[in-house]
Amino acid sequence: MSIIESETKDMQEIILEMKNISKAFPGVQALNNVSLTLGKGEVLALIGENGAGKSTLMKILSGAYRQDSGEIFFKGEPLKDYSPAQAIAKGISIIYQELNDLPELTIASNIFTGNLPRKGPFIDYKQLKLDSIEAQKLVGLGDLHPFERVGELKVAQKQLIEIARSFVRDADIIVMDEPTATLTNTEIDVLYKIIREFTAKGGSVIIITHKLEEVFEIANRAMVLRDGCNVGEWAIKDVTKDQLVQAMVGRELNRDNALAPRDFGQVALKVENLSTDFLKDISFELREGEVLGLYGLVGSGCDVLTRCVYGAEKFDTGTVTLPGGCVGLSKVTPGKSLEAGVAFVPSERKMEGLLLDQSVRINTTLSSIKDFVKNFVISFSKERENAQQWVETLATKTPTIETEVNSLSGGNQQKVVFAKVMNTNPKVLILNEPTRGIDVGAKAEIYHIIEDFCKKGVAILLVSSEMPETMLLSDRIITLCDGAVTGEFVRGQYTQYDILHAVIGGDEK
Amino acid sequence: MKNADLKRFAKQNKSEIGVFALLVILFVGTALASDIFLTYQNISSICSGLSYYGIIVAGAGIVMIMGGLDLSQMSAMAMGVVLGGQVLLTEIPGAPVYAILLQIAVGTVCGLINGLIISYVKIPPMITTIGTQYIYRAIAFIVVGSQSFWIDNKVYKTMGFGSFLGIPILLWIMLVTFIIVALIMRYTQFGQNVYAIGSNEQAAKLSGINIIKTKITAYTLSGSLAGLAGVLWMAQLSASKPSAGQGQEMLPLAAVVIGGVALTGGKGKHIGIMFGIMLLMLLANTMTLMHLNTYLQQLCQGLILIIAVVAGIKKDRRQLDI
Repeated sequence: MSIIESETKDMQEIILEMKNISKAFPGVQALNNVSLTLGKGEVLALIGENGAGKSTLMKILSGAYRQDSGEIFFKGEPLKDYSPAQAIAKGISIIYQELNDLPELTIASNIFTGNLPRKGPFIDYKQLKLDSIEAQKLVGLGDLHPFERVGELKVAQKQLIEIARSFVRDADIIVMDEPTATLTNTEIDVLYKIIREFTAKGGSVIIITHKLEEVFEIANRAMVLRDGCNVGEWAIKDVTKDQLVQAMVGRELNRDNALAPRDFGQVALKVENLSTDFLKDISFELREGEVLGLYGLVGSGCDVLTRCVYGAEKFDTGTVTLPGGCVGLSKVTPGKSLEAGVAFVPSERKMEGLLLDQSVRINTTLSSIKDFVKNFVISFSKERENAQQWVETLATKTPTIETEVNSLSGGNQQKVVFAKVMNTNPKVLILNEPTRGIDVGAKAEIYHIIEDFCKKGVAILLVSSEMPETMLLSDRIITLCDGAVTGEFVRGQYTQYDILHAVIGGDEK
Repeated sequence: MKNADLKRFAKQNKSEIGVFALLVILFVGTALASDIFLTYQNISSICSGLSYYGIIVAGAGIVMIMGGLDLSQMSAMAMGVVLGGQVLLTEIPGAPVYAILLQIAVGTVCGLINGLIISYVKIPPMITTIGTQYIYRAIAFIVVGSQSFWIDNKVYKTMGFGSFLGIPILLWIMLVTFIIVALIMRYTQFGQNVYAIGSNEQAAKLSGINIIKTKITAYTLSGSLAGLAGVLWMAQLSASKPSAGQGQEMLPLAAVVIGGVALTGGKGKHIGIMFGIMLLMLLANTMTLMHLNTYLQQLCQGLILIIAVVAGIKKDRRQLDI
């Protein structure tokens, strides 16, 4: 359908215009002068690496964030200081990757949340049922009973319910964040059909996606973001997959800051045929002093894999072996892993790494408290001494060691997490997003800490969603896609392009 | 320098100091308003009530600092009271020793069951302990029907009415127990683990803390303390009946919250909990002396609880704003 239609669409009126949008978070310029236009009846694909700024841009559009500068025009009128509810009322509807359904309520209640038909003060269930069937038909779910619980439905159906909700709210624009990530091929076809019907009626769609095939299948235009900047915009008929990948990657990375070459020691960690219902038969080895990076796009399974290795999540088959002889079967718990010499820095520092309302001291000794116990009694003086030492070694900026970690900056909080894991004298260190939400200066400090670890012979398993970081730190990179290993790359023997290809699926060029 | 230390102490113990101040005001106020208040008899009657509640709240405090809840303590205590009473009635040699041990053992088992259900079956503590609250109470009633027994035993009598150095023995038992619990919470790995779980269970787990073991230990301790509280209850009232502590299930919870323990866990100290229960006991006594009826007393207890929680929430909000 595309060529003739997209040409005619170029003539069509513009429904949305975001002009020179900038947004900074502490330490990060998330968006830098980004502009976006969307025509009536158009499907725009918004693509880019993890952290390129796609989600931030869409959150600004939805009213969830406010831009620092820049303007938004919707149907030619400026939109200013609006809430998500107001955005929805105006006709901008966003379907997030984590669906916002109310699983305990019925299909009908989900579709009509906030505008249930009423008779006087009471809900008119008869009308609701009729309306709901109408709305369900629009998304091909006409044969489901409106009063079925949404929790019983499949993910694809839930997603369609959300689309139906956007329809009944008379949305002019629907933004879909990775809508096909969890769908099967037939379900994807249904979704495409609905999108085509919607745009044929004059609706507009912005689709955020990692899958390039999808862009060519459904979109009229593609826009690429990188590091919070516009890097390019093409009509689909004028662009190739290679061009898009090139645009996403950008210039080659400066490798001068990489860790110095080292000799690796013995095998420190061996993972063999590890499988869960998502991870597929994963094997790798990690040597003392080596940094192994796991890289994949959101949902590729890197995080899950590290949790399995640490024993924080169960796996079905396979083994995790350490030279000490600890064999990681499904019985392993974090406590046992720590004893065997595996330490873990979780990706969600505040949720999983720290006791936020406790002091620097308590957090520092949290994993190693038994080293401070003599005759069942904790020696506070030894504890204090230890915490003080780490504060000095890592140059953690904190008023005292009794300060709650709550009041420290992200970088300093992360240093406390590092002190905690270092206190257990790990042989293998698993790092998940070690510099997430940390400003540039603190990042460099964290890199130095990691380097010190390597020099001491600690084996490091690194997961970072920032590709430059992964490339900078890793001696070897293993790429994952959909829970399976798709490639292995040794430092200096690959290009960024190779890696991106591998994480997208690693198939045809 | 000293000034700075004092400031830090005040900042870190805000809620404890607050309750203590209230306690002092109420104490002085009642002492001025009533002639009877400062008599030995009145004070020791406050103390004997305080004794058994003090032991109960020591246990309730442990689980609530962990972010949990134990509403079955009073029922576990009643089960111990009934079974211990039966042993005393046999009048076999050494009966009081067996009775005391049995009461504590019954409480321990009750607590262990709570802990097992909560950590292995993973039913929320509130549901679990409401369920066992009914079950343990029912068992107590099934064993003896609704009979009460008069306990006339020398050991229990001495415990209930004797004094040492001018202080009732009951109060001694409570104080020693309470201090031990407070020390465990502060100075042992178990105590620190309890605080860690209450602060952030996920982080505690990933930091290698054995969540299941800690939880089971905490609930078991709470049960043991309930059993011990039953010993004091029986000594004080010279009676054994299945309705022991019935209707008082929420009072320990109120005392712990008033004492500064965050509802979500992780925050609070046993010294504050002690002030909390003292405040409630003192309030009850004051109101009795002022000839206010029990319903008005309950009304005031309720108000204080809500005010304490509101004060706590405000404090938490301020922390989040930073």
